[in-house]
Order: sequence, then structure tokens, then C-alpha cells
Amino acid sequence: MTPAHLKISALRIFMKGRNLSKENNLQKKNSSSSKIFIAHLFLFFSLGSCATVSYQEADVALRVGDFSTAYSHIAAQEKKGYKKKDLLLYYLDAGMLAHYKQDYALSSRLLEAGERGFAAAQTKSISRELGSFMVNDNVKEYGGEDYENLYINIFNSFNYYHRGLADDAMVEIRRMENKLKSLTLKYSEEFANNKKKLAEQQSLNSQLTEDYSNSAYMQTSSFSNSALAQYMGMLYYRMQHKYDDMRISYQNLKLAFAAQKHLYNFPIPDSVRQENKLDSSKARLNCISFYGLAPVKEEEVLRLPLLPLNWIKISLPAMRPRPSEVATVKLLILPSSAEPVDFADSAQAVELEILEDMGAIAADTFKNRVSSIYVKSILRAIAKSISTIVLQQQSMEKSQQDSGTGLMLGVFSVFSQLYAEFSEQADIRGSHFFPSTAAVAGVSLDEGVYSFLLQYLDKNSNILYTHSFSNVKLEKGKLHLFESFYLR
Amino acid sequence: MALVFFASCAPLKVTRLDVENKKSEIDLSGEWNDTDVRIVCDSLVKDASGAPYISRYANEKGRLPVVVVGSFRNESDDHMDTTIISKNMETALLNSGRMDFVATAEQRPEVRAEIRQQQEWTTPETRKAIAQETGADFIMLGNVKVLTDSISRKSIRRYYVYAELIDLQSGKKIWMGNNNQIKKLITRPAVKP
Repeated sequence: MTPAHLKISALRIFMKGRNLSKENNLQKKNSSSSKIFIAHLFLFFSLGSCATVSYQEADVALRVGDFSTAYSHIAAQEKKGYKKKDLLLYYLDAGMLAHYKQDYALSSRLLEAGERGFAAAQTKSISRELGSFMVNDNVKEYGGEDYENLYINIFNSFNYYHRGLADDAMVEIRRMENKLKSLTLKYSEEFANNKKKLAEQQSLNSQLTEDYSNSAYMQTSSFSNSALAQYMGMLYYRMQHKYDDMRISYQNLKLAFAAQKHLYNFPIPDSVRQENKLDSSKARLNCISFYGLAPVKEEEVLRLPLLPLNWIKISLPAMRPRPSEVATVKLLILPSSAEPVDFADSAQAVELEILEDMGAIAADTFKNRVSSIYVKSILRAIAKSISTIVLQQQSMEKSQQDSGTGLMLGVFSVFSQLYAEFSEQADIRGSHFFPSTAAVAGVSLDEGVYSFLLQYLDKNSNILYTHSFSNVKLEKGKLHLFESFYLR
Repeated sequence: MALVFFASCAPLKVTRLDVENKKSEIDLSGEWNDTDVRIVCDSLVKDASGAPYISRYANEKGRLPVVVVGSFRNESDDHMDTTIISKNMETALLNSGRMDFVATAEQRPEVRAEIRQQQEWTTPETRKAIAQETGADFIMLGNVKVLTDSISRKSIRRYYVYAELIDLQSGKKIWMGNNNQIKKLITRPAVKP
């Protein structure tokens, strides 16, 4: 018995499982299979093109802290590099780089366009959705990841804060909190439906040898409270002298650590604990440092057994961390009145403490989406495999009556196999410039003018980068919050 | 093909709307807009105009109460210019002849700079004296809050707008107005048309 015969008998078993084993039904399916295959090919070529954004030059500029050049490289690709369906991706990339280059008004415009893009992505294009069920998820408009949707509010909040718009800065934090509240609800129903779909497929097809519904890909995220958002809220409330609201934000921050230990597996920073009980006669300097780069997606190919001697290929996006060179960030403070001597000898030094592992949160929240992608990929790959098997069977049957038709169907079946192999591509689109770690420091000082440095050190205590701030006037009762980046 | 080409070349279209006409009340995104401002201001102005304490004050003192507009905080999750609310209220109350208003904290530096200029460049008979500003009797403060609830593509937003007049001498609140008439159900379509 040839492999083709084995596949045909396997197909019969499969069809029986789906209550479609009657020959008449099979014949009807056979007659349309070549048309379906051609429709697949059409969709593949008309919708299936991926973004062709080049990050190389922007990455080089980013590594040396030249954010303006990095932004220019990305902005230059708005029309040509980013496809229309990936416009959200452009807003996220350009919005973050505009923030790093301190063009806060531009960054706000871009990030807010991005936020509208997230909302608009809830409304689906029928043709693209259909295409994604037949080809792959790359045909869809980029709908963004949850962590991107959450963290744009943090950076837009900074955009407003730096422009002196405190109310608007707080608006962004409230928006993020609202999104967090609906995050769990958003996926709980979808996850239950996905489990149900897989269970149905399992019961219909006794030849599905694995229990896919209990796969490692069928997980949900439990992230629902961001310590970083709560910390920002604390500082803004303190600025507005709303101490009760500040206390509530601090309680929520403690809850974020206590209830999400897998994401906050480090202690609450001491400086955060102090924020609630500051000496009112002193000025307060707050620094927040963002370093590293958030994970990017890469393709993970799985081949799952479907039938005896057959398998399906699925390609899933997986989050790949981009490890940071930074081991420690130090804050060195020197009164401006002092001689400009070596900071290391005379400055007050404080080590920044990690407040949020944004990379871990990116990976965790992505679990919600992976389960949906996993289920959809399995169903799509099964459909593609059936098309190939049906064409093979038809080719075998026709070759005995009409060798020309049989040969043509045989060629179709080979192309169908190739199509199933190559069209199954993971959607690895994702923003490129979000940081992976947020670390904070807070120091109470006498009112006055100070200069300070943020030093980024590697594990051998070598200085990787120094960000300096000069002649900063610190006054009691005011918020002095400084941001620093080292995206490596 | 030609239709698509010409459609993409269609000129910019601007339609002027009659703001007095109810038909011009158009909601595009569901966010805070001009219709919301109008509803809120109409209600708060009506409320403030009829406040008994303000009439009593004018009768007792023999002059109109003097008000300074303070902060009108945005405590919602919408980006909105709350000065539109406070300015609308100030305009309506000033024009009603029931209150006098003095320059706000943001306006005062500009007013004072002008007076300082006058000391040097203006004729003595038209020159205004320094430190002769009218002190306000009351400060008007306010805020906008919102409660939201959302699931999937549906969300409900209810706005709560508060305004209050506080006696600067005693710290007593002499009037409070609120409007919670703005409630919106926003439903995003599942599929694109």
C-alpha cells in the first residue's frame, strides 16, 4: 500500500469521524476542492503580504541613544514600510520614539492615534477575517497586544506631565486602570469558547491523537493590576495634594505585588514605601528609569499528529525576550553649589529598584491571545490538510479513467501540500520600542538646586551609559519626576 | 476602477451645522463633545442663577457678589478642556447681571503687566493705579468625573459635573450645582461596513 493509499484510507476514517463518510458527500466535497484550493491561493497572494519595515537603522541609532535619528528612520517608512493594515504598528513605534526624543506633543498625537487604532481594531473587516481563517493571521489588520495598549497610557501620561498638564497626565492613568479592569473579562468568555471548540473537534475526530485543550498554549493571563500605573497615580495625587487618593493607589500597588507574585517576584521598592510618609519640610526627587527592550515575537512551528501517517503544521507567535545589558541603575546627586568634582566621590548615591518587569507582563498578557491563535491555527491547518487529502484521492480515482485530469489533480494536490506548508505563517508583528523594565528611586532633600546622574551599570559594574541632569531646582510640596531611558 | 479613482480624488467636504438645531448634535467617537458641554452648562447656569444665597447677598450688601473662577478639574478618563465649561458659566452668569467676575489667576499677570506699562507710557488722566484691584467675594471651583463600565465592544459612560461657589472669607460653600444627565451607551460595530 502506497502512502497515498494510506492517506486516502485515513481520510475516510477522518470523514467518518465527522459523520461525512457517505460516498455522496465525499464526491460533492471532491468536486469543489480544487476551487477552494484556488480561492486559498488567491487570498494568499492578495492579502497575505507581511509588513516590510526595516528596523536595522533605527536599532543602530537607538543603541547609541540617538532617538531623533531612530525616529526619522521609522517616520520615513510610514507610507512605504508600514502597510495600511499595520498603521497601528507605526503609531506605536513612532509614538514611543517621539517620546524618547522628548517631542511630547508629537508623541501624544501618535500614541493617541494608536489608542484609537486599538479601539477600531475591535471592528473587524469581513474579508480580512475570512482571509485569516483560510491563509494566516498576517492578512488581518494589526490589532495590537494588550501590553502595548496598556503601556501607551503610561508614556502618554509622561507626555502630558512633561508639558505641565497634570489633569491630562492623570486621565491617561485612569484610562490604563479601566483597561486593566476589563482585561480579565475580555478573555474569560473567549477562552471558554476556545476550549469548547477544541473539545468539539476532539469528539468529532477520534484520530486527533492529542488532547489539545490541555496544551501549554491554552493558558490565560492573570495580570489585572499594574504597580507602575499605581505608582504614577500616587505621585500625581501627591502633586494635587489628594492624599487619600494617594493612599488608595499605594494600597492597590501593594495588592499588585501580593496578588501577582509570578510577575512581581521582587520586593516593593523602599522608596515607594516612603512616598506615603514624606517629611513635608523636604523636597522630593523622583526618578524612573526604563531600560532594556520588551520581547519581540518569533515564529514557533509545531507539527501535530492528525491521522495515521499524517500531520498538520501550525505556526505560532512566541514572545522572545531581548535580554538587557543593564544590571543596576544608580542615582548620584550633588548640590549645584558644590565643586564639579567627581560625582563618585562626593555624591549621595542611591540604587534604583525594579518596580515593574514590563517584559514579563508583555509575555504574560500575550498568553490570552496565544490560546486563541492556537485554536484557530489548528482548525485552519486541519481544513488545509483535508483539501490536500481530498485532491490526492480525487487524483487517484480520476487517473484510472482520464490520465490528463488525474495528473492535473495530482499536481494540484502537490501544490496544495506546498501551500499548506508555506501559507501557515505566524503573525509575528509587534511594536519594537517598548522598554522591558521600569526601576524607580525617590530621595528627600533640602530645598535647593541640584545636579544628578543616572548611571547604568552592567553586571561587572562597568558604566554603560550616564544620563545627567543639571541645575534642577527642587522645592517642597512639588512633584519633581524625571524619566531616563537606556534601551539596551 | 474609475469610480474608485474618482472617489479617492473627491474634494474636501465641509458642512456647516446650525448649533441651535438639535440635528447638529452629532456623536462621532462617544467622547466628551460640544453637546455635552451645552447640556451641562445650561443646567449649571440655570441652577446658579436661581441660587437664593446669591440674591440675598446682593440685597444685603447693595452690590453684586464678585466671583473669581478657580480650577475646574478634569477627573475623568477623557481628555477635555474644562475651561470651556467654566468660561461658558462665567459668560452666562456675567451677562445675566447677577454676578461680577474678576480676572482669574492665569489672567492676572497679564493684567498687572499692562498696568505697569501704563505707569510709564500712558497719560496720567487715563493711567490706572497699581494695587487697586477688586477682591473677589467668592471662588468658583468645579470638577468632572466619569463612571465607566465596559465589556467587549460595549461601554457605558456617565459623567458627573460639579460646580461650587465658596465664600473666600469664611470658606463656606454657598452654592453647589451638579449635572449627571450625560450617560452614553457606546457600541462598536462587530464588522466594518
